[in-house]
Amino acid sequence: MHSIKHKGLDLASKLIFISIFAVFILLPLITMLSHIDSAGIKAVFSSAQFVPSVVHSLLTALVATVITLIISFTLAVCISRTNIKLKGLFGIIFTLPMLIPSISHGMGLLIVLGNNGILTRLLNLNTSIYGFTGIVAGSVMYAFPVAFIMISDILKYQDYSPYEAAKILGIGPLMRFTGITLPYLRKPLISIVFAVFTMIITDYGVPLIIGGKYKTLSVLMYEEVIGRLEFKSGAVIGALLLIPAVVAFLLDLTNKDKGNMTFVIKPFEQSNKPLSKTLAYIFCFILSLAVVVPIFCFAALGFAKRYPIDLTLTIKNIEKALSMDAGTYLLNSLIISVAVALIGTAVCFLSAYLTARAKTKLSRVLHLILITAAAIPGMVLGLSYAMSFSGSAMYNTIAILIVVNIVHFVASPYMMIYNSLSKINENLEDVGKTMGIGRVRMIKDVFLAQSMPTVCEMASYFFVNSMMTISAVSFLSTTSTKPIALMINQFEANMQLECAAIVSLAILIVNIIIKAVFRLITRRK
Amino acid sequence: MADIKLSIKNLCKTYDKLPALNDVSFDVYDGEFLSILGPSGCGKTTLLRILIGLLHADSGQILKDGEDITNIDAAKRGMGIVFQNYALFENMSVLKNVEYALKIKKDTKDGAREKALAILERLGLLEHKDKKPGELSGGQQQRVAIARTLVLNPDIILFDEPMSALDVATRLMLRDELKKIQKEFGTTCIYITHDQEEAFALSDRIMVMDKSCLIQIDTPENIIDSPANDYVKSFVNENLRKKIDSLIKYVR
Amino acid sequence: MKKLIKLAAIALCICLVAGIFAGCGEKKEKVVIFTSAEDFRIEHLRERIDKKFPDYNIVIEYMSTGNHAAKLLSEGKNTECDITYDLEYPYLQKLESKGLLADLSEFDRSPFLESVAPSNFYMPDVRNGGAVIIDEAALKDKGLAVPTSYEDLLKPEYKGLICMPNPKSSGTGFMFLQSLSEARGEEKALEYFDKLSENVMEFSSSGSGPINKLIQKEAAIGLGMTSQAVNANKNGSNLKIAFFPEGSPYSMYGQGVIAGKLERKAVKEVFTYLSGEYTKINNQELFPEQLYKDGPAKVEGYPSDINYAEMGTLTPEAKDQLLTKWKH
Repeated sequence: MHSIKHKGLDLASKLIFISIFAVFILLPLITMLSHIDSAGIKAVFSSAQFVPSVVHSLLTALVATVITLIISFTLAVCISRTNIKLKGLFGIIFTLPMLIPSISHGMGLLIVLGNNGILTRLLNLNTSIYGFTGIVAGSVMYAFPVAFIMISDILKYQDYSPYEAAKILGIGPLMRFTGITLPYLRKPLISIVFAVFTMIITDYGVPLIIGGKYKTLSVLMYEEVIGRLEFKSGAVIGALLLIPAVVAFLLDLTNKDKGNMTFVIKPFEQSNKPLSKTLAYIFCFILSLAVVVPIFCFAALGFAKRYPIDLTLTIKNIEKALSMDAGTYLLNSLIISVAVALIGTAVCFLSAYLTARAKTKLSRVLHLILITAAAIPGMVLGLSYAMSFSGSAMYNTIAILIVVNIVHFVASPYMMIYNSLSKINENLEDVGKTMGIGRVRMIKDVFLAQSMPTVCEMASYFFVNSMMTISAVSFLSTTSTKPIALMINQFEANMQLECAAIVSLAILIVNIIIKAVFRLITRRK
Repeated sequence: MADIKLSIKNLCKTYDKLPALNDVSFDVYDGEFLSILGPSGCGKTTLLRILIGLLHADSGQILKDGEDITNIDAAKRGMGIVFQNYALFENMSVLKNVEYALKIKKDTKDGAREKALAILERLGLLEHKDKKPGELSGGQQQRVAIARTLVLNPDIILFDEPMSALDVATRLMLRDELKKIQKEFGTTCIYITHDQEEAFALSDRIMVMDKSCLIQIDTPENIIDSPANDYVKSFVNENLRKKIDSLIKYVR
Repeated sequence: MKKLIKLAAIALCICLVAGIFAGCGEKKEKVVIFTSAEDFRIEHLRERIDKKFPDYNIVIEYMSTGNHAAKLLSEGKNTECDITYDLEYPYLQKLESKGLLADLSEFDRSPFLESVAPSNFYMPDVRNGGAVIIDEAALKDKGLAVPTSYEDLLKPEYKGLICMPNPKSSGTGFMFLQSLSEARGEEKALEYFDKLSENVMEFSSSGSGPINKLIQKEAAIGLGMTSQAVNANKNGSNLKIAFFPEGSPYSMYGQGVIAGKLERKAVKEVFTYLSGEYTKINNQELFPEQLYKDGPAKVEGYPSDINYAEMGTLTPEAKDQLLTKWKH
């Protein structure tokens, strides 16, 4: 009997996936947590920096999350609810910040708004960006595009009918917002809030560059692990940084009713009112400037002889980077990113198929393990991999970098495809079974084909992030497997901001090309 | 009376110790239009899924043309199903939706295109053949789903509340069409609905279910004239009767 | 769809093949050096070492001091690293105590001052001196006087102008803490830095941070490395290199071979050159601070007759102890 065979196959593949992810997600996590002992806890909790760092981390992450949400919500409304032109261009501009490492955002901000920054001198500003302001600004810079995409996605699937009804009943815009929009957004918004908050609180690139004396937990962990070799204290802080993700996790557990999307959705009419269009233009334009200026200045820095003393145009920084094997490292990055994109996408798709389309209790387990991955800060992941896998055949090869990147970035693409597959008509499997269409064919011709835009998005997400990550890989790369992004840390430490800019630019260009290719593919469809 | 097409014997099914089907037995005649009527949760969808082979009964037997099909694969029962939510392949054009199941199998590959086109023409969908389902109205989409089922030549088609997502005008039109198609193809239809009006308008016989049990199975007239119990009676008050009269006239 | 998969597969194949070719291209015997030396020193070394050993593929891999040590400690003898170059002594001591370093008694340590070559398991490569580096022009613009003592730095007018490396992550930062702690006692030294933190704009994670900020004109006063200030001046900056009465704090950086790797002829040859001839060249051309018994060398623009601070001796444990009391 077919369905029985299916069940057996389902069970086996679920068990295989669960065990693979257990080894690559849970085992390192447990290894890390097992390094926590009372001495380590005492050392961390009694150190003088601990309490201020916690406060700083919470404060910056909270404020940055709120600002990020306000900006990205406004932006999402501007783009998806008004009929403004240049949406394509704005779309491209607002993706840019996601294509370079956060550490580069820190540097860009520094060049524009630092004590000797371009704008600081131009406008004769007297305030310092170092500390709270800088961390919040930098964090918002790289976090808002992610939130923007998530919110746009929700708005896209929102039904207009309740609004229409409310309008007919004469309910005002404010009441419509609090009465319809907010309740509708509440659940997805909670997960977005946690995603953004986790992303900001675990990042160390921005606070490292622009935090000044204002130390955050992530920087403290960076210092403990990289600076003082205190793996144990690092593990304690790592465990603390896990908390927001764990909370999100528990919320997701209690948040069981996913509720099938109604399949008749009345789409929103895009506003054509001159006032809302003008406001939308102004908002998009200002935000574009805020995004483009620091990135542009930072990129331009790559062609300066010696910032800020000698700003003559030169390509010597490129030569210098190349003489330091930038070419080989770029190739390493490309190999890693292509492999991560292909394998990661395939793994995510199959896992999501098992969890979204063949639901059992085991699906829930697999689902939970996969979202757990989002909670592990890259640095912790890298360190725990070094502790768990040193001595294995995979160690010191490019394979471990591929695996660690897949695990590091698996959660978001998995959720993308999980949501996408969940939204596909629930009766399709039944149709396939009754019409004698084999399961592999159904997956290939129907599910994969229907979610192709999401699949492309996943692949480009994996690629782009593998190109620019510096946290997880820094403990695992060797001289022959090193990815190019790690050169940024090296240049930063060696006071070669110009070369750091060149490398960031190279990463940005590769990522833009990849994004463009995927855009072409999905558009042609 | 026509031959017995399908014979259902003592089907039982429980979910987590809660009964979903309680010893249900009945026969379906060849070429007849049978509606299964009942409130939601009465077990009618469970029954449908067991009939087509998407679900296994705990006990009982299903005979088709005298042959035991209780444990036969869903695809080999010669039955088709039409869902409330159409369940079309959104990524394929209307034509591809209809011909897909034929094209992927060696023995039906040849002539698949012609067959699909013929069915589309019969259902008045030819002008839409290159459109994606998303570009069609609900009624048109449901007709594509029916075409996709018909192209495989099933001798029984099961309908799972196929019209509850459609507006009233479309319903009336599609109802009409459904009846014509059934006569033309001579297909046996088993039709699930919670809408009495629809059931009475379409069916040769109606089966009323409540709380996992079969309450009564008979012609619309008999059900109205002699309801088996108070529950069935409540279905058929004076008001409804008037409606049915007018609708039966409309359909014929 | 199919085309897409094909396209992706082809792209992967190309990358993998290219990767394999790139790997096969390196047929020469490979010697891997981990180093925490600054980039201008790596360039200096690379030029000479490649000329000296054209038949070897010598990979010089930069890592910040902390990362360098952490990697060696976590990887143990399995590391791909053959030679560790320019690592601070406390870290080398830690490696030695874990048995990760090869015995170097066959190498001649007699030219070095005894105080800088205390172990059989590593050799000195530089004495890294610190200085208070001052952008006099920037101070003048603000109408401020040039500070001449650590106490001066506490004056409120310097608020937000001072950059110092964090002793927790930077050896350079630590040597300032260590020198003041030697001169005034631990309590007083920590008290001093607590007060100083009021004026500090940033405790940078790397020792290069302050010079970095000075060159970019983000800071006006930096507690940093003498050698980096000299190098910055050579490249167009105009920074004053000042030593306060306590003297120039310094820390020792050394080089060693990972246990078991000395058996390889290539490693032994490279290390012989590195610890002998090249260390001398480096001392004469870049880092003139005294290592050898025959006195300090002379380099243009480099302060001479440096008065070194009393640094005392610190075990790695004592260093950890002191650092746990550091609050910033």
